[in-house]
Amino acid sequence: MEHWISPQQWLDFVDRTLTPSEEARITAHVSQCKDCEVLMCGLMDWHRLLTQETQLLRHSLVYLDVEIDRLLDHTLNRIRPVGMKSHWTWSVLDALVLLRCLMAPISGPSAARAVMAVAFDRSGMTPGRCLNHDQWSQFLSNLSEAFGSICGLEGARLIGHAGRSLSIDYGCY
Amino acid sequence: MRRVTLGLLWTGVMVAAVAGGAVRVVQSVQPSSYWGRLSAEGDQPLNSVAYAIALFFCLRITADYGKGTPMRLAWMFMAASCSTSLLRHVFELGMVQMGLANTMRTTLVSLRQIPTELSLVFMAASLLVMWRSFAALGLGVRFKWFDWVLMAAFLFLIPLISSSPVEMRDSHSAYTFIRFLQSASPYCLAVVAVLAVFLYRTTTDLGAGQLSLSLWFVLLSVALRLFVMLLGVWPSLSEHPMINIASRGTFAASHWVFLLGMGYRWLLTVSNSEMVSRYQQSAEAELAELSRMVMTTSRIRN
Repeated sequence: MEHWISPQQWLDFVDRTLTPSEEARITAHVSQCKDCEVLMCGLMDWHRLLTQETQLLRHSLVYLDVEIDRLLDHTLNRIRPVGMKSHWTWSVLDALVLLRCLMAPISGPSAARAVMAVAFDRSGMTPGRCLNHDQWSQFLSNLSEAFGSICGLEGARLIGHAGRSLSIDYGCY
Repeated sequence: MRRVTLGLLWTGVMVAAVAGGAVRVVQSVQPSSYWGRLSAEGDQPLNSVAYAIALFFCLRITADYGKGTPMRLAWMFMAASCSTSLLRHVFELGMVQMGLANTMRTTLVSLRQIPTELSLVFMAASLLVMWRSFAALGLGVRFKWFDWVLMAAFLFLIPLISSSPVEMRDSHSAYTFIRFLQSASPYCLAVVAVLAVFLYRTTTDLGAGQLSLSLWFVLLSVALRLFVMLLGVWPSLSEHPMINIASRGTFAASHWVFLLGMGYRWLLTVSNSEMVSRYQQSAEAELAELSRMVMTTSRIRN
């Protein structure tokens, strides 16, 4: 059977942003195609688990140093069988986890945590608060500056670029 | 580029260690022959090359920090330390070439103490400012009992080295100032060693990463120099031929170990720069790769 569903269509399907007719077409195909059914289940699981874990991580921000590693491991253990995320819209917490994963191999995991904590502090970010584009940009700027203070300007540029490349779904975190 | 650079630097460490040991072997077998005299400072060209490359790396790393930032100042001090070390080794090499190393050992050659001590002062300043940059982020400020023991041990070494019956190389210089500098060298080295403990705590706090790896090599080079200095002033050890050879080889290698630290730090900047370019070209592909990396890392850890 021909697999005609594009990656973008899959992402829109999981995000429930397709038109009803398009969604019905994909559902009909999935009911007949075993491969696509497996893929759809994986994507749906990823989306659901990440949403759940984001809720957990939101509460963990107050215990950033101790809890986040455990929660990150827990999250990754659960979502690992599902697959990976490439270009969906990222929640603020998804983005924070990803940026920290980018910094850790360069500065060391504890330094990445410390840098992020400093950026939180300087940006006045507290759990449960809602973010807009300007506040995210301010946070990114503080994160780049803190990271650059130990890893250099190129490191700061890297974090800035990566942060700006993420399509953020602004909201409460 | 990364593999070639690191390969060359690691080769340099091994070559320097062998050359340092060989110099001591030639000196002990034929001390008064032409080769024995010539090899007295035979590893100096390698040391000079190490510090010349280290200076190049330091200047490039300095440029990677914003103007007026503490880390930029720290790397400027490190560059100054490399410059004075380079000056010292080139000076010693020149003395050997002019035949002054043996005939005027206690006068002209002893002037090497000026760049030697200056290098230690700059190194201490660099380590202090570097540590303060990390301390501003809360890293390297929670000392453990082991750190205090290490610092106490280094401070305890000062009177031990100063009172050693084995004389230091320039302790009979014709210049009073040089004799003073020579007697101050254990104190300078102890200060550097104590600050190295500060940085040791910082690298431990940083966790495994490219940055801590580069700092580890700097710390290792300081530790090696201290170890060699201790061997040199310990009467029963300083006369043992095998220990003599090993200590000379270790001392020669320590300069290249220091250079390795600079090299790893410079490659961190290079790889950051490359990643920036990749993000500029295709951010989506990079983010997908990053997601994949997160998965792989997690799989390895678990």
